[in-house]
Amino acid sequence: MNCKNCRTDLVGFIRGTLPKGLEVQIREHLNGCEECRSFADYLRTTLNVIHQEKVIPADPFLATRIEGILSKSGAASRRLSFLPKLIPALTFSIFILAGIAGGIGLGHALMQANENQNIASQQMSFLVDDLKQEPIESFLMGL
Amino acid sequence: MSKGANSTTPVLMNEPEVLKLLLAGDPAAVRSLVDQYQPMVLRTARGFVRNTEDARDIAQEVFIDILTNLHRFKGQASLSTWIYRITVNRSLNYLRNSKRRQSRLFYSEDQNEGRRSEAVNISDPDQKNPAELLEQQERSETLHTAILSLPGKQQVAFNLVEYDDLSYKEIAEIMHLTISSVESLLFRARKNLQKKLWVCYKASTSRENGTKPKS
Repeated sequence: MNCKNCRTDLVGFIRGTLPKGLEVQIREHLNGCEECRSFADYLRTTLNVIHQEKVIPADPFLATRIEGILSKSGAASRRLSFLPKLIPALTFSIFILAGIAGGIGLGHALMQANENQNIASQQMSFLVDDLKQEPIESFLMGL
Repeated sequence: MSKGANSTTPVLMNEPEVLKLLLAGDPAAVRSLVDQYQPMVLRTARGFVRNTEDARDIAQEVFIDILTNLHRFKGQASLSTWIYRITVNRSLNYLRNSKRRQSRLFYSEDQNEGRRSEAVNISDPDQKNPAELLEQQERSETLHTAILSLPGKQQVAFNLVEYDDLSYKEIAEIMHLTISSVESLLFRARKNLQKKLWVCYKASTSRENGTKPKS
């Protein structure tokens, strides 16, 4: 085994995850190669940092803080809890009001149109009646 | 630590018991859940963010996530697997969203000071002198920089196996992968890590010998 191959598997060797045969080869190489042995020591010491960092003192007040945050957010959501119930009712009311307003508007427009039509027909009938009651010939003859 | 630290003795329960209490809305359930899973969540988060305070922030977010989304837990995986998933996602989001944390290579003097003081607090002061603490701090930074530079999935798999001592099967469940994929990820992660640490090793030996580093 050469140095390059040895170095490639050194992390696995240190962590003991290599197959037995490869492990033996690396061990033999390390016995005879000072630089690889020195690098293996460096790796071992560096990776040992992980073991030292694993121990983290637990925060004894974390549960209390979480309970506080949850109760705050719970209270806030309770304050606004009527909103989801109110939204369908509000939407329904808006539709009803829009329908009523639309109906009134339409009624007004139709009434207006009817009125206009009545005025036009009244005016026309007046003219027609005038012609009937007082034909132009008799009017001229009367002169 | 204050008296509170000693007064809160965690009462450990098994997963079904904790779940039952949580679903029943038992007020004591939150405390049981936090007491039971806080070390696990902190350890996993610390593997990603490498800063105890950041890890504590993530832990808080994780527990709030768990408690507000409990109705979504279907019980297909174990509760701890679900919590691991939430922790990993929260940690990755935390890293992604924080540019300050992403640019770890370029520490300001203040951050370095803060980190050094944290390292001093965490480490056992009875056993290490300042020079040893400084060396450990440097090694820690080297290692974390190397791990952070790993591709995403390799980083997750490596952290879960190294920081949480999980089996390949457990990691496969958490990451939704097959066991052989996890093996492959870890193999590549270790290889990449070795390459990056080799460069650091060469640089440090060159510094010690006063020579220019060779690749």
